[in-house]
Amino acid sequence: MEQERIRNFCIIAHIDHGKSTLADRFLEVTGAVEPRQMVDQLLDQMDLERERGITIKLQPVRMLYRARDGREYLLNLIDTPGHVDFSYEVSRSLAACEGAILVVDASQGVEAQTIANAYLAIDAGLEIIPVINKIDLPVAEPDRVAREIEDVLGLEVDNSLRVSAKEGTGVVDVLEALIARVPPPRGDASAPLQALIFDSHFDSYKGAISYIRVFQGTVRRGMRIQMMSTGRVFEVGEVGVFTPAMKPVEELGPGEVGYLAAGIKNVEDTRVGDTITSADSPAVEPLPGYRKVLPVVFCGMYPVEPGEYDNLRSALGKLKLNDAAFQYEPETSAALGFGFRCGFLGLLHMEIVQERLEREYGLDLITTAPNVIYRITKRNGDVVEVDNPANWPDAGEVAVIEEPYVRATVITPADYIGTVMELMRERRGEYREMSYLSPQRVQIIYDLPLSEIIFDFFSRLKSCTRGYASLDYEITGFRPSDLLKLDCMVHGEVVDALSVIVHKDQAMTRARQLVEKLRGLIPRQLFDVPIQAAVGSRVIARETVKALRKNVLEKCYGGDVTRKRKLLEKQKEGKRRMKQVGRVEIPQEAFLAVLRVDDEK
Amino acid sequence: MAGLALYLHIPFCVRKCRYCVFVSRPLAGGGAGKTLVQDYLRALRREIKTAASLAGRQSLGSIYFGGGTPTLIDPSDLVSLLEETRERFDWGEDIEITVEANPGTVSPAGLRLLRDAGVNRLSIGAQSFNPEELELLGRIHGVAEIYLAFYAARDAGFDNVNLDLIYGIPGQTLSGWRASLEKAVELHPEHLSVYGLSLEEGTPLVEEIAKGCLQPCPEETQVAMWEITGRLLKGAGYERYEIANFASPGRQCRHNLTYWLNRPYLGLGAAAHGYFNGIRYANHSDLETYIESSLQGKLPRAQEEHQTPEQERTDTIIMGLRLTRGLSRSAFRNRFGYSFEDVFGEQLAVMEQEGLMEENEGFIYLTERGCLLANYVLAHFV
Repeated sequence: MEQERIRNFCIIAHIDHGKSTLADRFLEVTGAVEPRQMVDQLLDQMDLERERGITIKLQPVRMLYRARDGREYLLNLIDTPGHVDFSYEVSRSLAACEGAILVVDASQGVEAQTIANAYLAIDAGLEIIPVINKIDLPVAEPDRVAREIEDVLGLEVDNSLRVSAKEGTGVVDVLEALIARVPPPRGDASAPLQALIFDSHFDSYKGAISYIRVFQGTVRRGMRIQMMSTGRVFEVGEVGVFTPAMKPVEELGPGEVGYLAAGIKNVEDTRVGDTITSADSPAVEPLPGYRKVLPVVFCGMYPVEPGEYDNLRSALGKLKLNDAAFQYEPETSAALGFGFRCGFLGLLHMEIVQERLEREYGLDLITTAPNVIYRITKRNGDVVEVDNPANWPDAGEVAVIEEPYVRATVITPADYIGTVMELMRERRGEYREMSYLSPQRVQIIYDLPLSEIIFDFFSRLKSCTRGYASLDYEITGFRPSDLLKLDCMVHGEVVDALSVIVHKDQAMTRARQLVEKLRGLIPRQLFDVPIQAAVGSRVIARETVKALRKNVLEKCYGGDVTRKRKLLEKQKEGKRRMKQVGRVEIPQEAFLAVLRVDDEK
Repeated sequence: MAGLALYLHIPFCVRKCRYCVFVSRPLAGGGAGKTLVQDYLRALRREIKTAASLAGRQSLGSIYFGGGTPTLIDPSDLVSLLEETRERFDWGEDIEITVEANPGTVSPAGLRLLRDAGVNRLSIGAQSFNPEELELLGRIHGVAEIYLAFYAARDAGFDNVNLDLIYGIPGQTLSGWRASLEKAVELHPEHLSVYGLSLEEGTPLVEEIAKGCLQPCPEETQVAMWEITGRLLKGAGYERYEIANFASPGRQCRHNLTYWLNRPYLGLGAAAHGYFNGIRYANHSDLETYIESSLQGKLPRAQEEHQTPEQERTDTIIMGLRLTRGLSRSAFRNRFGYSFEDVFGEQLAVMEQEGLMEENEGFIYLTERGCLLANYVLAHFV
């Protein structure tokens, strides 16, 4: 296909504005997928994505479209996730495209991530095509929404692009607008190869598969390629395109999107954002790539069975291939043994990784309560970053503690200004500004600690605004804070995996909630088990799990044997899922108790 | 102890006690109830015949009529069931035949009839000697009926009588329990079964506790009750031979020993369980289904489970350790071909360290504390 007739684009939207449904319609209209193979949200391949109704992974697909001008065009769509945790994936998709379709819900209008994603696309220099979706809804207000897009984002709205992706109306007009307005890719087929890796996944037969967008030159099977960041050289075993299934082709030229397999075994050799070039005639410079995403939420992951450690490590390695933002490194806990400290983009990301490890790799995990990263300046002038409360320095050594702050943007109906501000206050927020998007809708901006926003903030925001508020945030940097490490002792032993970092003013409340919660979760042992929360050597809250004195089925005759056996088997199975700390058996859930005390407030 | 054990279930009661989860049907007075009982008895006699043709003409070591309330039905009906067993099986020379008898449902004449027909052991469901507790449990009788039943049993010639007692009743105090226990001992029964009240989901008693109308008996009190029970009964000449069972010398219940030694037995009647030819089975618990199935000449079983060697081992251990004397090492080795320590040496050592188990003269057994925590201990051996 000649370059003139290639269009590379992505779809960006606030969550639930209908991005995946519109993508489904494109696949149907272009015949990329036969109707009988069509399932809803076709590009959301993971079970988890379908179950949760969200897009996690970006997923490219190539479509052939005969336009109204009678010519056939090659369209490469790169689907993007909508949840705020995954906004980094959006910027990765953007770097591989020339245009973006901005989908806005005709009843809800511009939301926080509409703005965030639109700005990302503008910064990336993309042609943006606003599309108003869900016009079939009785409550649709396309005129109002069009005005909002123009006022808030300064984008011109083409009134013909009002669609119902659900019913299929207006979908073809969007494709036509795409062809007319999005520029074809530039690039020289004979120049030295420059291909951007925008994603990867691991295939047990072919090794690591790199998802690439070719900017300059051509890549073909048998060619020797070089990774520009590491200098390592591989031979291309297969190149192909996404139909959306992977289909081998002879070569990929400038402007094309596809994949490449080169027998790459090592995760580190196919870094997302890296540039692939030809080993024999390398390009002078790599492509700009994009900023490395840094995880902001950390937690420990430990196998319940110590023998599963190696399996966990290899599962993490494979997962990492599919998930550039996820990080892990080995750590050791006095309580839990050998495991990993893992870094995530947010709580949803963490839950998803945890769920995938359990489902796809059959692992039994203990996850510790998540925390953010802290910057501590010691009295001797050293600066350390701490991503694990267990590594918190002694109070005597600490000069300044800083924690990450975010600037949070909330868009909400004006009726909820009061409740949103109340929530912000509760979460140590600092007011920045407020502006009206329309007489009914307002944008509120606050600075607040990241740690306050990652724990349960979003669901609280949703419930106190009846689901109407939307949220976006960006990390702005570190600020000094009065923080303490709260330690937890079970039967006199500090359980490092239960330590949490809290603000001074919250220490007492959190300590009480924590010991109370643990008292309910730790099963009775054969002796009294004191549970204490302490700051330094000062115990500030205490509960006791009373000793188990009597646990016997007294009436047991012939008919009870099977029942009795099953009961004991269940009891034994429950024990298996516990972690022995000192003399006490602690169940998995206890390690997340620190997190859950927040839920019940 | 030779001979097969035979359990016969009589699933009828005057009304259901408020703590009970056993299969039994309250019997309304009048014709409908009578017909159902007669149909049931026919089905049960038929099952005896069917089971006997399967098992062969074995010698019986014990027969046990449980319920429900076996003494609610006409004694002559029980006698005809006994005759059926005698016709289809051989009664062992010193066969033990027990009938569960509930105060308020026995008469001197009826007991004499049973005694004459060969019943030689009576198990009386006394439960408590405190009228308020009997009321709370939903028993149909008062204290007086317990005495009447007990003396009637003696008068009828029963020299082997058990009394069932329950402790840990909501509102029961330690001294209240001691009083019940002492009253029971004053009657000099040969055997005592003492159970902590078990609160079962779905019973009226549990619902009242959930609603907050009743307070369950605190665990510390129950432990104290358990401890005085052992002391008091020992002083009165009874030996604890199983977690919940005490007997005068030579008066252990042979039928129940079958269960604890994990030996085969036939359970007949609705909802009865059995263990025979390596199969654990449960009969239909719905009366009508049971009756229909049995009268068609089938084994009226709802479930069957072929025991694996591991299951047999587990059952042998968890039942055997209930006995005070414990699990016999040599019997274990003879039965399974390897020693207990071969599989559970490590766990045994841990339990001994915790003071929950001990061993001597070829037996492995639970300590008194181990008995109180039996579920915890036994979970190590499944």
